[in-house]
Amino acid sequence: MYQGLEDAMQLHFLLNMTKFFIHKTVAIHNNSVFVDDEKVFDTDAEEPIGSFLKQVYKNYNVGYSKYFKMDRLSKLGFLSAEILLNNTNQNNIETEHTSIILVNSAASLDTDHKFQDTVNDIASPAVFVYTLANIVIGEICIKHDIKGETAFFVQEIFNSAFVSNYANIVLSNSAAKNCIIGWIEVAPNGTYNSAMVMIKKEESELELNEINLNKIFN
Amino acid sequence: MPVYIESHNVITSLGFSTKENFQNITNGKTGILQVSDANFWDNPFQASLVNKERLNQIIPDSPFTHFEKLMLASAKLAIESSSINVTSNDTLFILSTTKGNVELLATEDKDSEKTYLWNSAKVLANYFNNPNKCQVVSSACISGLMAIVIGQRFIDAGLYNNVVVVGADALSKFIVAGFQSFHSLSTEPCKPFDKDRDGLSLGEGAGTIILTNNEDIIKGHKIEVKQGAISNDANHISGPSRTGEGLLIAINNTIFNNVKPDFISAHGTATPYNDDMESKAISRANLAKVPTNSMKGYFGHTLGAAGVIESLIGIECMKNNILLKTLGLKEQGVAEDISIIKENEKREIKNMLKLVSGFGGCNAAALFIKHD
Amino acid sequence: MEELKEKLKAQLIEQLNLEDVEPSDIESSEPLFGDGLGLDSIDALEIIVLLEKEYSIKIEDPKKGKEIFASIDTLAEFITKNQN
Repeated sequence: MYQGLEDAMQLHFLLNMTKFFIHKTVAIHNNSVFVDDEKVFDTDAEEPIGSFLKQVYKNYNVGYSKYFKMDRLSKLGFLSAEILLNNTNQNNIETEHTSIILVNSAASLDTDHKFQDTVNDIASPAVFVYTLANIVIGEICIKHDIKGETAFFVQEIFNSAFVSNYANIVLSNSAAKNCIIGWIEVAPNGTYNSAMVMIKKEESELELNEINLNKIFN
Repeated sequence: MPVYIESHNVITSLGFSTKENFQNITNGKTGILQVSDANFWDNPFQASLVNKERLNQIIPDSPFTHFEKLMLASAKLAIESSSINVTSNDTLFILSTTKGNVELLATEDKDSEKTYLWNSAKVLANYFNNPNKCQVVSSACISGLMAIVIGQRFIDAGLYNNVVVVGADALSKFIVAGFQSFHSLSTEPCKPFDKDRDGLSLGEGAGTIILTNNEDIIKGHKIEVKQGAISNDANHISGPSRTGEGLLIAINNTIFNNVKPDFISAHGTATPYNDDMESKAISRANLAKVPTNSMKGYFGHTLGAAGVIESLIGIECMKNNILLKTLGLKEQGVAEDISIIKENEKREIKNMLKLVSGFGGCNAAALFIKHD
Repeated sequence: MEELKEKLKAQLIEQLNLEDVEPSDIESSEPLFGDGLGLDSIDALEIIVLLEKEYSIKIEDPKKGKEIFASIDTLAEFITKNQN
């Protein structure tokens, strides 16, 4: 429950709101890909993140040469979105009215360290551009022509109450008709995990709320 | 539920309060100067730096980093002249920054928790004994304005009564080297919207805006944060859109019902592509006749703090009914013929449109309204 | 010159992360940007880094890169001219 929230206030907030629903879930961790909790792909658990993600890329026949220019955070987010939006009719999603909210703990620290290593020599522009956490959102937007509201938050652990509230606000107030929520984390030591969901107005068994997000993201 | 600005602060090379900054800007002063300091860059470059001695007087004898001092000092000064209770659980803190403590990556603290942005947020909330989890918005150069828009939305939704938005970024070798590698630093103080503009000038700074739904505690002019919008170009991760489409979406989702802003505070970084893109978006939104300026010539591009700092200077313009010139501009030369302010001019300003754009193709717009 | 061109192709593939491209896929005369190899503005900046690192040639104004980086042919010619 929200720490800074009086019950009466939350009631007022919730009563005025249209309900939204969680549709598809994609999770990538321990060198395995899960769609709606079902394992759909895996490799040897010993494989490092780079070669694991490359196998995911090949498995899904993505065919997007810019992928190889991305940093590890963008690759992970990009592939999560590929799988989330895989087999969906783009018109059905109305990408122009799709919103993206991504969260992680390390921001772009993985690439920040890499760039810092080049600073005293010749700084690399191709590395520098990925020293912003929200670039992964840009990559997803470019691939899927998503032009809606986007936001990147940095949280020590996924804050389900905050993200649920913010997604509800974005879907209620802005031009957004659906929203992608994701946790995309690559730590400087290469440990990683991601989870991504699609939120729509169309009903499903899972309502968008703090409790359901908590089950998926924590 | 209307959301008002209750207290504020700006820290840049031009001063330690919104008022001091505004006065220096009104007098046409720039804080951008040639910096020769190998801690930042081997060669001299143009930048706007905050006076460390004065900063240390506000946050003295502290274990804090330079970035943390900027963030804390700005919040402290804004809170000192505020009547809201920041230790209450109906007040949320939002921190906007692009690179936080990134300078630590060059030190032995490179693997410390301090390099994490959420840790800086903790430092901020703990310093003021706020019980809520301070949120971090990190969406490149639109972060500051986005944090204001998010604060407005959380109050409007009834989740909090007050939000303290703090935007801060410090200059470091990391940042200078990055923009240098992009060849986007100007050789002279930047020249927004000028035909000879050749890049941006970096700046460091911090800004704080305290938002509240309590109309009764507002002193002086009531400035309302009406609404804002965010959009993505879906075009390129570093290059601005060539059509202005993304920013146009943000503008159109911010101003409707035929509201015409009296004044536009543009992003105006003075890079060739950004200023062209903005001129196209402003023109396509039928706002080419609206007086427009850029603040970058006064204190440079303050990155994650820019949206907060520049909104606050714009708000002072609304309160004082003055349009401020775009410092550094000699001869206008952008793709579309928009109305860039070239001389200070007294004029009634009732509302302001603030624009920002950033890497990752992101854009944000927000509308501020003055009530008598 | 032919040797330099082959070396450049390999270096570009490496520096610009052109996965799935072989040196033999790049025609020396074909455009590197736009329709050809599909490079973009960040790649152009990265080629400037490559020239400095590998050939000690500095390009201060990226605008000049447009002509120099038109193709492997023009790039090789530029390096030959500007190297001591």
